[in-house]
Amino acid sequence: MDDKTIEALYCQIKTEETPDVWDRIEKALPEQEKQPEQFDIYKQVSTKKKRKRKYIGIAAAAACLLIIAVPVATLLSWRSGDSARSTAAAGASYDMAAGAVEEYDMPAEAADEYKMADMASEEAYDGGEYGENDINFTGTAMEETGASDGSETSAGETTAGETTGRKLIKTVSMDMETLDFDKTIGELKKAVENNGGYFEYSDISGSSTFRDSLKYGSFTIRIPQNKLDSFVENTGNLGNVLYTSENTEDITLKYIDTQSHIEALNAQQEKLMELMDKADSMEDVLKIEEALSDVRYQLEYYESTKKQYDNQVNYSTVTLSIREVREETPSEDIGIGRRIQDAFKETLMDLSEDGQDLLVWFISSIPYFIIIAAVAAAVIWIIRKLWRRHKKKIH
Amino acid sequence: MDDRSFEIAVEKIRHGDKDGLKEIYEAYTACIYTTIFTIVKNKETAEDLTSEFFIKLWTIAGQYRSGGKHKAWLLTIARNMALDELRKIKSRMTEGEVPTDTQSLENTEQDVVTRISFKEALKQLDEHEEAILTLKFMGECTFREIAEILSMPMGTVTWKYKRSIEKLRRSEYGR
Repeated sequence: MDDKTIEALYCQIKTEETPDVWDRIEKALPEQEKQPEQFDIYKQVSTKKKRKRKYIGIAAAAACLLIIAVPVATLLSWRSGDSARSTAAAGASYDMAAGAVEEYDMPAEAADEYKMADMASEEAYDGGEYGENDINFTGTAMEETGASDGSETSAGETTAGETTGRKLIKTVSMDMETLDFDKTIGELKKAVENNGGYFEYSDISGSSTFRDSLKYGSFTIRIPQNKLDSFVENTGNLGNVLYTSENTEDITLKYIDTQSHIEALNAQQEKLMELMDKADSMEDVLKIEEALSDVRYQLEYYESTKKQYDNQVNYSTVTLSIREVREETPSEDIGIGRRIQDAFKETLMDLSEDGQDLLVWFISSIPYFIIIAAVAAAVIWIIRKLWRRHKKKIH
Repeated sequence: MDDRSFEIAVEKIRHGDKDGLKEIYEAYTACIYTTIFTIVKNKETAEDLTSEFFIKLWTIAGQYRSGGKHKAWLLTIARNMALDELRKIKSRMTEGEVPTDTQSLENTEQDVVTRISFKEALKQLDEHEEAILTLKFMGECTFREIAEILSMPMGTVTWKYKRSIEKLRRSEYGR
């Protein structure tokens, strides 16, 4: 049975089941006053209104044309002088000039869409707030992706003009040692909180009791990108930094590509929804549904990727290890005299600690000594007795 | 009936011409009655409400804004009237006494296997499926309009539509 037959059968059955209640309706209708004059006035008013609407429509269309024509003309003249690479779906262009200054330009509609999608992805996050890191695609000067309000930049980050419009993932690794582990950890936690960050991973082991098992901590911290520099500086003051490295990965092209995919898929989805409205047969509906499922699946994938990128860009990663020490490692070159002095000092310290360990061991082992001494005394007494008896026999 | 014809009919109603109402009645009474019946499941109640609907339309025709979607407007009013009535019925009756009317689903005079089988298949449809088919076939609404009227996501509408067509295909006629 095809769809047309089902439709015809359905309509026929339902129409047959429908009673005729017109008589009842007609009898129950209240009298409606006929107002021919008002009818005429209405017609006139209606005509006037229509004419007014017509003029307003023409004026609005002319204004729209002007608004569109001027920027398009400007854009065309600007583009003709530059070498640009454009993404077809988003209509965006990515320009790399000789002086390593980068600009990113996007049409106003796509910019609005990006802002709305960016805000939607912000709302989906929990824990920690975003820094002033949103990128404003308006074709004019961009905001910095790194530090805000002109604070100093760190290694791996270029100056303000050069970072505009870029998506940068920053990671920092630090190794440090401290004399007071607990105090350092407390201050680290405060620093993370004050900078709006959070601990992604934390592991602390060891004990301060014994020299050979001092405390050790390993942490992965996420800090808003614009607070990274101040955080790294503060952290460096918490102990003796032995090693630090910073890495910056530029994912701007990947991000633009993902964004373009999302926009293209959204446009495709819209088209399919329109086709669905016009679909007549079941087969068409099925085909369109299938295509829609596929588009939605891809859209989810790219949106998830974009969210991941946003998270990695907006929150830099700091991998930090802290170990407790009895004496900090010297951070500068020292002469041989100082080295001998330090080595001698360390030997004395080792001896002192070994002595302490020995004493502790001795005192804790006294019960064993008593038992051993008692057993030894008994053995000696027995041996002496036996020896005397043996001597008596000989004499 | 297209939007233009509807607007002309509404214009007639505004000026006290019953022919305008008659035109709308002839075009949409089956759809309105079926929509209402799907909800209230009672023949007498559905008849009463259908009459009330057109009487109401006679008085509120002036509220219709030209350029709007007239089918969605009519069917939304019909649905709301039916849902209000159903609430009243349920509040008056005790639990389990919701009236159902099976008379219209039985037709002992029909001895054509096709019709009986198709009607049997119609019984398998739930309220939403029947509403969707009524709006689609009789109301000639698009899926988007149906989604708006029934306050359902469009994906759900198309999925239920598919399912109801499959159920109807499984009737004896289709085997």
